[in-house]
Amino acid sequence: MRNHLQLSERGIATLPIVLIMVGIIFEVTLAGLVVSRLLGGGLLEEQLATEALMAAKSGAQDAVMRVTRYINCPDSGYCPSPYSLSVGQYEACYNILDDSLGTSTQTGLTTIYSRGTARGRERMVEVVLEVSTSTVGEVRIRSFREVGTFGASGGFDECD
Amino acid sequence: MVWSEKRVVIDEMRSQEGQSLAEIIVAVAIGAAILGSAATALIIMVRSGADAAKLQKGYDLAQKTIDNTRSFAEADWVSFYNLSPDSATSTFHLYTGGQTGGSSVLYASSTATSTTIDGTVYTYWFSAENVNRDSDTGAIVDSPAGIEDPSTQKVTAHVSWAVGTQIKEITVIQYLTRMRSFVTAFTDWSGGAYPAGGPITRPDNTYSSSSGTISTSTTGSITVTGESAPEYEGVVESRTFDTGFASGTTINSITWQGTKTGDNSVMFRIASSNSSTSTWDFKGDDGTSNSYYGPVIPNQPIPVKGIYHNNHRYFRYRIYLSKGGETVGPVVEAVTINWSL
Repeated sequence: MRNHLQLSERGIATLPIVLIMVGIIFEVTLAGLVVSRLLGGGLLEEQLATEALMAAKSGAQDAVMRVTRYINCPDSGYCPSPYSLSVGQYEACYNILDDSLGTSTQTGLTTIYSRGTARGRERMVEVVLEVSTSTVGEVRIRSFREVGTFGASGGFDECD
Repeated sequence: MVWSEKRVVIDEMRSQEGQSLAEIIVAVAIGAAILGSAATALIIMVRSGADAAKLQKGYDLAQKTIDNTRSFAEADWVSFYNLSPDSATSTFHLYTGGQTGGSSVLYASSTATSTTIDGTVYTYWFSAENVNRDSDTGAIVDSPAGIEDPSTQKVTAHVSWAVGTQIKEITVIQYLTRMRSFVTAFTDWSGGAYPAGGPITRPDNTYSSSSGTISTSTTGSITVTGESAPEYEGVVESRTFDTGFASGTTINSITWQGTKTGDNSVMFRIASSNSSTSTWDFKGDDGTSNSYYGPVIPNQPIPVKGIYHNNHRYFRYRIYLSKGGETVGPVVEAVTINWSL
């Protein structure tokens, strides 16, 4: 083995170093961008989740108002179900389930499921109302809470 | 080694003079590039992380603002509804004060407020807008379509903070409705007319006045006994009902129970006021004394246009009965008024 370089071999040690360093630069930059993207994506998800919950609550409030006002819910006139409500850029879709129709998950109560959707992110709110039959039209809110979007709806009908 | 060979070796060594220096320069340049790139990436990451944290705090504040506004509205809808001006550009914030029984009470101020979190100043406020609904379907519609529903408000929470020389602002929207409802059921008129009576706080068996050919003598019913007018045969006007809430209420619906006979057999008008000694202005569904609520079948709530009876403490109803061309008239056994605080 020769222990010294030929004139034509000058820089042969620099080239691999340069290539390795360029690779490292690329990796570091890429990692930074990926981390930034993940942070941004996670944050966007959080924002949309908040917007979806606000939309779901808006739908629930509207549904409670309709039950309070029209009592005989759901019906095709004043109290349609499922019903879609625009909340800013986003949307709520709610179902009103009357136990007399055999669709409520809780006997003797009217249950509202309101699903808020913000660019694919969904949140759902469940409201349980006690609608008095002895005193026509008296409505009491038994619960108003967020529930999971899957498996808790008792047959959620989608809005058009 | 002969001299000539030594000479070649010396020449080769001379030809490599400076190679170490060149490598050092290249290494320094590469190192600087690496550090520069890494620093840039780190700055981007740190800045993104900081911006994300600020944005998250902004959304937390917006949600808190909406939640507090909902609490405020549920506790005292009238104060919430009366916040002025009512527009997308209105500015309010809530603050706690007036310790009542050790509990904090929310009050509204017509300014924005700010808070500093981790060195960043966040300014936050909310705006409240009236909401219109379609008269036929009750659907929320954009003004000027429809008619104002005083039991629904559109709330927008705003949060802003500085990002360099720019101002970042986010908004979150939610509809709030008047959710506390009450029912007053009138089921007996057999005590007869009592026009001099003051307001009642619970239904009794009297009414204010009547006209036409009706009978209220049987406990628990109003019936038509003859025919006296083409439009209706009898009218019963209720006593003044006092809801007991000085800040006012709104009427949601009216329902009657009994037996319907012909067309237009049972209809209503509603009057409301903040004075129990008011001259009562009875209105139908178009807000005038020319229209009625109804006719509808028994047990079918008739939506009342709340805007015509908004934030009033007292109300009266008039019930108009007609045989509607039938030989037997309708029988009214109960009148139920649904109202919200």
